[in-house]
Amino acid sequence: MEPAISVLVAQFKTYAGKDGSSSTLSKDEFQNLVASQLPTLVTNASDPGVIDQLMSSLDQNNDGELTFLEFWELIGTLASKHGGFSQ
Amino acid sequence: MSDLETSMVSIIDVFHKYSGHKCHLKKAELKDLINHEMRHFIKKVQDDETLGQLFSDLDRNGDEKINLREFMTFIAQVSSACHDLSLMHD
Repeated sequence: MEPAISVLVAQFKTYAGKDGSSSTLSKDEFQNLVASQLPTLVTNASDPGVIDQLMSSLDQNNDGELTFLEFWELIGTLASKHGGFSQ
Repeated sequence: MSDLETSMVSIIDVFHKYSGHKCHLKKAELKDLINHEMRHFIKKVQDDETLGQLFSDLDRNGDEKINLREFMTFIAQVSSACHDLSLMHD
């Protein structure tokens, strides 16, 4: 399981590092990450309205950026929704 | 599936492996999971007090079970601590 955790962290860092702070996701970075990495689990990722809604539900301190822990809320929600699927 | 989605599935699969497909972990199952699957991230949980404290920290809704949501929060905290994500400042 540890390699899977490392992949998740690496993906976050890759996308968070593109602009501004390299430890948080801006809205653009978040949209890029969701569209590229969560196409199966988040439909309509290219719809700005969907991204806006997701972003505001995750951004707990309303600073316009998502930390790893704020982002992870999305992963937790998707996992719970889809948690029945296993190989 | 992308790398990220595949990794999510791996983590969910581990949860199901130890929860026996009943979708929650009891204390003993959490201990087994940590001791077998998270050896690099967490020192082995050997005493009951440590396990008890960890379990109640994770059991947000106090139902004596760790559901998938609570488990995912645990993974986030471990990941964040181990990869110094919370300490990164620009």
